[in-house]
Amino acid sequence: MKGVRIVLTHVRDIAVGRPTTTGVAPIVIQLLLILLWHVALLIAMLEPPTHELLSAVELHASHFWHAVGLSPSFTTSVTHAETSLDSESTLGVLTRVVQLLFAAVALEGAFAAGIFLVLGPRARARPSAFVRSWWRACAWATLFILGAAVVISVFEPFHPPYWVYGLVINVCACAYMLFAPTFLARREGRPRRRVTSWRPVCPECGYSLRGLRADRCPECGVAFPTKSRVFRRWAIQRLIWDRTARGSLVFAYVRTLLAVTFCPCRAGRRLGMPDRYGRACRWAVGHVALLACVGLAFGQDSYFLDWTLRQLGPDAAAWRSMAFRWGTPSVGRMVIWAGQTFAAWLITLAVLPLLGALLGMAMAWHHPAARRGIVKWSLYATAIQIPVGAVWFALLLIASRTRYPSVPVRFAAQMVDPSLPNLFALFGVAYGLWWAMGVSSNPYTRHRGFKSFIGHAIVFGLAWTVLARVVFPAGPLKELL
Amino acid sequence: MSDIFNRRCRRSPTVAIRAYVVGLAAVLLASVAWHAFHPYVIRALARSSVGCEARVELIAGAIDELYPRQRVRVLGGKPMLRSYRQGDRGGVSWLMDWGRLRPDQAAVAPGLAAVGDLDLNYCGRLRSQAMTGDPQALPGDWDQDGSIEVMPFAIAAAERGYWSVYWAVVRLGGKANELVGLVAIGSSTAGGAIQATPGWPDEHDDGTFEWVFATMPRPSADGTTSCAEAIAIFEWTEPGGVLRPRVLPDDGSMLIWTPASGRPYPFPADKLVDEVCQELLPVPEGFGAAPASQPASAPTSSPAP
Repeated sequence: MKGVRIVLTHVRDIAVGRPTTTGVAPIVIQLLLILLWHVALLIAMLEPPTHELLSAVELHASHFWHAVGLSPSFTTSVTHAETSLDSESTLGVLTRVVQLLFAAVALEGAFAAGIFLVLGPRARARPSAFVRSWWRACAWATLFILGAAVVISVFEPFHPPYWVYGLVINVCACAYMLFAPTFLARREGRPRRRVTSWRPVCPECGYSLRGLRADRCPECGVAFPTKSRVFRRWAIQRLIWDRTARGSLVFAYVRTLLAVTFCPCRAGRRLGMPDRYGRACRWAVGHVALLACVGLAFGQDSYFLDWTLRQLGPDAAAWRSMAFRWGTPSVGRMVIWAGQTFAAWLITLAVLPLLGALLGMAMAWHHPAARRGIVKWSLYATAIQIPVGAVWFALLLIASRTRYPSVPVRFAAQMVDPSLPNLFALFGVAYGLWWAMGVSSNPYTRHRGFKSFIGHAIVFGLAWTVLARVVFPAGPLKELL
Repeated sequence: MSDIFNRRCRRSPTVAIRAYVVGLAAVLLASVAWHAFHPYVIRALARSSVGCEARVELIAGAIDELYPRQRVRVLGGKPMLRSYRQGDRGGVSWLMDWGRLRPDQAAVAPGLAAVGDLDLNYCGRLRSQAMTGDPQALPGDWDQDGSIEVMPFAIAAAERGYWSVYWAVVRLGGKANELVGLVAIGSSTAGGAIQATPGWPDEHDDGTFEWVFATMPRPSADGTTSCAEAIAIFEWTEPGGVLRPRVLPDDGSMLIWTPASGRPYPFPADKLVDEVCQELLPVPEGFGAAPASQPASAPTSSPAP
């Protein structure tokens, strides 16, 4: 059992390119992985020619088996396509592609190794270090390619000039593949930063509590939650909206919104104190209601907004006369429909913080204070939907100016349910990511940092998928959104 | 409160397991309740959503659940369904069968459309050579006789440069439908192609509805949009009766069929509406062409068989 565990650890270290791997075998395996990665990339990028190539390979194999007489079934399976395809040339194409691939990988490796020798860390100028860094660069590139695919799918309807793809993407990809191994190797040798520069401060006023034994802040007089002088993870200044003295509400709201939007890790840390839930609930309810209004206006292809604008617009009379052909919904009927859509948005948007809070409470491996803090952060994280809604509106505006009927934002969230409205998918993805960032920054959680963020984001995504597909499938009701 | 800030603060495993069990049971219960009430919620919302253009898929989902044998066909991811509401009248029509092509048939198969009322109750069906598979019908009890009337659309003739179409009003029954009004319009009507479109106008003072053909509003050069202008109006003889012309264009661009007996023309529900139209109102050659080549006599009517 122990031997198996050692082997598995070794395999894992080779697969993720950890510095613990030494010797020839890891180098060979990682070189093979690099080659396979490039082959996979080629297949993914050159889909139609690859299909042709594969069919040509199959055809060639069928010729071979037919010639040696081992598989008589091929005599009937080979169609007239064989007459139109020259088997000699397809084999030639295949050989040329393999040769080109090998040459490209070798050239890339040679240039990257040269840069590694010149700019890389002197102490680690070994082949194993280079191959390891090269493989890690390839693995990270997979993520970047996926991100680039999302970016391209967003901007594709705007028909950017081809030189954008050709120049920007190719130049970025070449530069990355040449310089990334060196960068990763230098980063590997760099001493780790101090985890935090945190010092205990008063949660209300930020007064330093170093060396202080009192149970009250000498500056503002606020009582501390505990008299214990150890494990003072509560000693972080609260976010302005969470303080007793907030000053101007507008100013406090804007600052809190900016903090949640642009510094979610810091905001999550400063909202980690497990108290003042009433204020957090009001914050969440206000934002969910506001967003439901946004959803009502822009959801369902802006049906209700269009109807209202048409009723009030200069061509209202002409529109009404045209509408008699298809039926004119009465104002009362429209109010009922709008109410139904608003309620649907309200319920759907409330699911996100509710899911976050439930997940937080269910994470038994965290400290109880962390679990309660996560509930609070789940409520505050609803504010991220405001900038997301603003970005959506801006995209719609751009789309209307560029005469495109809609903005096809197809994000990973739609893997949950492909027919989800774009706006809700956007809300869900943004909320999940921001929630995970705040949770992974809570001072009481067991693990913090990037790995914790990835883990929590995956947990939220899975929970959302199960909730939407299995536990509470919306079915045709999602048409209300 | 202070206990929770202790480093050693932990919940006992028993309490944690109990909380998990209770939580999972609650979610499970809520899920079961959701699955149980989901169809009722969908139906209630779909009934209330008849007439809303943005909720076609919701109504289609409800119809699929209510009538599993008459499911709504989907084309390009969109259900072939149209709902219509005018005040307290209206209904739903959907395509439930593309039809099957015989070897001697043309490329377009006659589709079978089903029709329901405002409460999504199934009222009847009709077969028509729908061009896109979308039943061009505005269902509703327009003469207030308790039956649903629909308005199918069919191609009468299509030649190079001009064409003509049928608009019919069919009263739905169980196994047999009734034709209560039929009009053939040429492409020259109202000075050009598709500007003539029939529809049911707003309710009149006496509570009856009329069948109106009107021009489509068009944007003018100064930025304003012209209003729809009626070119032909038909009115009901009585509840359960037929449609008689009240206003007709005098340029010969419209042919009408009116039953001499004043009674509707019955035909089997599975019979193609297009065939019925061609039997009752054959379109003369050249109808629908430029005004110079149009027949001089207008309006034309033919007796019921």
